[in-house]
Amino acid sequence: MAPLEPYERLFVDSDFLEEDVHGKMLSCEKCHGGNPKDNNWKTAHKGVIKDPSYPDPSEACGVCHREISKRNSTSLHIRLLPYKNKMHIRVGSDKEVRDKVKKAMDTHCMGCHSSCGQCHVSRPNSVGGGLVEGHFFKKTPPVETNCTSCHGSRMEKEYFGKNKGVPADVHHTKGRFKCTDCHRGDEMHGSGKEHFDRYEVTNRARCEDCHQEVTPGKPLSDKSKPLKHPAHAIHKDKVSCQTCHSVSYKHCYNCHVGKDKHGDPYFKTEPSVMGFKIGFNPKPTKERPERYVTVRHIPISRGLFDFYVKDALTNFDKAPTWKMATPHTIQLKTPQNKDCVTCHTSNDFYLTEKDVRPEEMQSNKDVVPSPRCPPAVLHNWLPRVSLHLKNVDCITCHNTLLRSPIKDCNQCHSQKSILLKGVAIVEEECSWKDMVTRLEFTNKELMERKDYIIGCNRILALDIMSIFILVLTFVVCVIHGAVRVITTRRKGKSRV
Amino acid sequence: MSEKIYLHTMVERIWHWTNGFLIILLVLTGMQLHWPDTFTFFGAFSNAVLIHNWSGILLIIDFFVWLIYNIVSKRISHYILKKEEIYPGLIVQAKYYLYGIFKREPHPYTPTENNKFNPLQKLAYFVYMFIFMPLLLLSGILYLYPECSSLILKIGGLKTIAIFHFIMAFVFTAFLIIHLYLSTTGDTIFSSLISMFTGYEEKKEH
Repeated sequence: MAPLEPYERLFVDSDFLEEDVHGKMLSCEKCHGGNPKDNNWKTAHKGVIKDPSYPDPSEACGVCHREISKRNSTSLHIRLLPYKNKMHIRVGSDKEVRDKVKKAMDTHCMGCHSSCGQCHVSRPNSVGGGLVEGHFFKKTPPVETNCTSCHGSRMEKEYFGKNKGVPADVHHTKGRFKCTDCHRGDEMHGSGKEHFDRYEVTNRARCEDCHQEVTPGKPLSDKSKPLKHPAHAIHKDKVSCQTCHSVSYKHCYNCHVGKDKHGDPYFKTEPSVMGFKIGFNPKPTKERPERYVTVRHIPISRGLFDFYVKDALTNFDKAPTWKMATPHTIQLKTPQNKDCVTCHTSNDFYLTEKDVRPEEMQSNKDVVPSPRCPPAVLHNWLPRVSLHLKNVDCITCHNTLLRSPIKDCNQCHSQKSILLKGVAIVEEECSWKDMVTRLEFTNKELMERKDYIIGCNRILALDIMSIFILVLTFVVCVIHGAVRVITTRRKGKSRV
Repeated sequence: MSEKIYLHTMVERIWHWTNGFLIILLVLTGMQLHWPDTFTFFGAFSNAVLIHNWSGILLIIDFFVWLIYNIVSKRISHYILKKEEIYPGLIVQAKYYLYGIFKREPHPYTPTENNKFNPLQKLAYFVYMFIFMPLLLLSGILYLYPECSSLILKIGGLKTIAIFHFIMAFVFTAFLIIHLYLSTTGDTIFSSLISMFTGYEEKKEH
């Protein structure tokens, strides 16, 4: 995003005073202070506030938008509480050290906050500020000037597919969704309660807001996109959506903050790395109960604040450096969700001890999952295990329509076999329109996954009977034809 | 002396040969799908699957083309049996095929532009197009997209659909054999076949 020229930052469009409700009803000094009656510009501007909505908007925005203003202090965009909370876990209890860390964070971290005005009127101060459109109030903040001006290095590049070799998020390519289509005002304005981190926010954006499971008797909402695949019911509350549906995203390593010789603050990190890793959720909660989540390495190091105070992070190992992530690289089909065995047998997609730096091993001990157990070992109670694993689709046994996975041999190997009733088919709605437009056949998928057992629908007695009837039909036709020829010839001769 | 009568319109002829071609393709691919170790007409098993899938979809389209055309043009009346064609028509025609044809008796029902099929043809084609064909296509669709309908679970699962589809395939194959043979029972061996290309059939005066 190109920076604004100085005049562009300050230019107030005269139309704002006539067309925008704020311009029509409020004079400048009502919000910004100052004295309009004073003819001396210097004294007239005394006490003028650039952003009257920060830190407390109650005297400006709150006069009309009282309810939203009340929740202002719980908005993570304003308070940046998760930054403070998580850093405090790592900082020791020494008050002097804490004060120095606070000073460092105020200098380097806490400037990235937003406010009512910095979303709805101007660009955020952290990117230089400047009025977005001549002081017009934008009910929905523009993505490019406000959302991605701060969330540009990761979210913008991920969502719009600007990382080399990584496709854009399907919500952008297929739905042209803006940030605010999922992250609504309610979430941005705070819930009214203080939260430890953003995953605890009760009114945050959730995949389930639109993507609902099909439950018999339960109607789907208007904007619902039904979840058709049986894997959703199997993995519900165990595996996060992103674990199956996101692709490579950004990981940042190391971070040091300091001041240059002119006294200007700076930060320094290692070059970021793209990758995809599944780890354990370090802190499952009621809101995020999943055991398996996508994790990313965050930009932190033991010597982060060394410029201000040496070894400030004495409790560094009390929080993981690989933390839960919600990448904005969502795809319907991903390398890890192509079949069951990709995740259930291979360690390729998981965070392993090899991925964790030795000095960070202790802090990530609860995040690194145990290595995958081969299916042959997991199913070692089965007789002829390799034959079963080769010929039986996972979902046939691990079916959500059954109360528990099939373990009784007679359930399949009997005349009343459960397989004959098609238990592998999940009863759900299906869009015929989708089916026709995607020009794909279900059996193509079965073939690719090698789930179809050739000849499984053959019945020998039926085959023999059908062939017999066909041959009989053919023979009758031949005899009928032969008799026709013979009688025709005889009749021809008798005429002669 | 003979005169030509116009029996089969251009649309009907195109539909007929498309239908015939697709049925033969479906039978051959179906044979490879059912007995892949015996028949390999189309190379890999997946080739047969793909051709069978697409032929099935085209047959559905072809069926609706036939249905809509016949309803709109009112030529569907050719397939409806009249009272006198049921009795004694069906008996008379059956006797002809079982007995009269060998004595070179004249056809009891000669085709006209308004009534081109004999009673047995009408009955056979009616059952074929209005009962067997929809059942074949429906079972094919359910077999093709089992996840899209709960009907499969209600009628006993995929196995039931598979068996039903297989039986229908044999009915169609048997029909094809009989149809091919009976097409030779016109005034000459090839007269019916030629009329399906030209649309005209020669009406001989006996």
